[in-house]
Amino acid sequence: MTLKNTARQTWIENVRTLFAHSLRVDISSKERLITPIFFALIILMLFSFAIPEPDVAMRSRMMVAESQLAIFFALQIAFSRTFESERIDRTFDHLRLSPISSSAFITSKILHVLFIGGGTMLCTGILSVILQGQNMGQMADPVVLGAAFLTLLGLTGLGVLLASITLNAEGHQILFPLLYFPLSVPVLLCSTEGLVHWLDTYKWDSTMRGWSVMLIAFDIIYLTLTILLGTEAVD
Amino acid sequence: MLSVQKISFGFKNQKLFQDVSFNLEAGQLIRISGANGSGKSTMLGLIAGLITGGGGSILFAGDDDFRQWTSWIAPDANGLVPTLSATENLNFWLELRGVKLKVGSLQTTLGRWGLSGDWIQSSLPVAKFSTGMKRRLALAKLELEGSKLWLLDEPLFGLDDGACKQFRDSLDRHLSAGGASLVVTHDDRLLERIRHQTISLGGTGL
Repeated sequence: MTLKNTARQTWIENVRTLFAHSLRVDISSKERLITPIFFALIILMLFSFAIPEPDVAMRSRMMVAESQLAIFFALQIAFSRTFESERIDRTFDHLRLSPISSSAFITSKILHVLFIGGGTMLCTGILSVILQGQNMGQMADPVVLGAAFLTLLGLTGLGVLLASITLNAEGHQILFPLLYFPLSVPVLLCSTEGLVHWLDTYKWDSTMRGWSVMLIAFDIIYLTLTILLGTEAVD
Repeated sequence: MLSVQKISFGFKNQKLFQDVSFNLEAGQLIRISGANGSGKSTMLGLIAGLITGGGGSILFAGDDDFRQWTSWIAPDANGLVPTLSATENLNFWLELRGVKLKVGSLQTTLGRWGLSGDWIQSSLPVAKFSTGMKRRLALAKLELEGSKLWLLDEPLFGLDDGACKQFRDSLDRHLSAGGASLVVTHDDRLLERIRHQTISLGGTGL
């Protein structure tokens, strides 16, 4: 047996290893991947039943509502599972004793949630084109995609932050939604108002700029807090 | 390698141990003994940095991150993801430590620990393993990590006689190669032929 001072991974390698591991855990239990897609499907079906023949203007608004709902609930599932694998078999303690950076750990969690949220968004979009005849061009509009990404980013930052803060809190399953729901409202509000305004007018005017700036500001605040406080919580 | 000076710990008014001091050098093994609830695992947790609080100082040699050359075995857990296979679990932990293995050495080590065959190593999820098999996997991981310092809390949990003997040999080789270990165990089989010192926690410290 030879003892060696093992080479330490870089920060980027830490993130890559942890992110790849999270994906591997997801793939190993198929239910984790299928659930968000079913969520998207159910939301689309419910909208189809509730509003069977919407006019063109209503269709745009439906698309906003559907995508927001799908992202919101898919992320809820993702957050509740953010630290699930670490809770099993004292994996989190083993991670704390591994030579990894806590900011790399939090970053890998953000990437993981973004991946799940992004996948759900994509599925919702494709399914709504297939099932409801939504306009593919409208779906692929850079402004719509940009707004959806910024919404995802803001909600991801907030969710990972709260999941890490409540990681070891007693009753975290109650505490998390109590904190998450009110704090997610500003992001959802900016995103929905901005998207509806854009789809109604297709004009990049002061109203559109205002909502976009607010959305970006919330993203920056939540992501910065996640990196700072989430790292502290993990430590 | 490790210097522990006057560490104390307690819960509210209940002192678990007080002013415990010792040094651990290369090639040395120290057993922490004591009755149930005397604070053995807590002391190991304090040294590992998993528990904070209490008094005293714990110093690791060198300026680098001690976690780079320290491995830990928990008493009741192995840090394994149940839905992944043995090799997937091992690859993850070893990659995090930057350990690069020669081709086939992972399979050979697992085979030595009684986890032979492609099906057991790469297909069967760890959730299907018995308690002893999971422990064997954790001990294979410990060996492959190649750390200088082993913090072992009841490492023989769930192991049969053959695996106990194998781990004793592994620990012996580790110490001969200049490694060190702090061990909490109630099982005398592990240390019966290994030179060691004992720290006894009796509720009032040493």
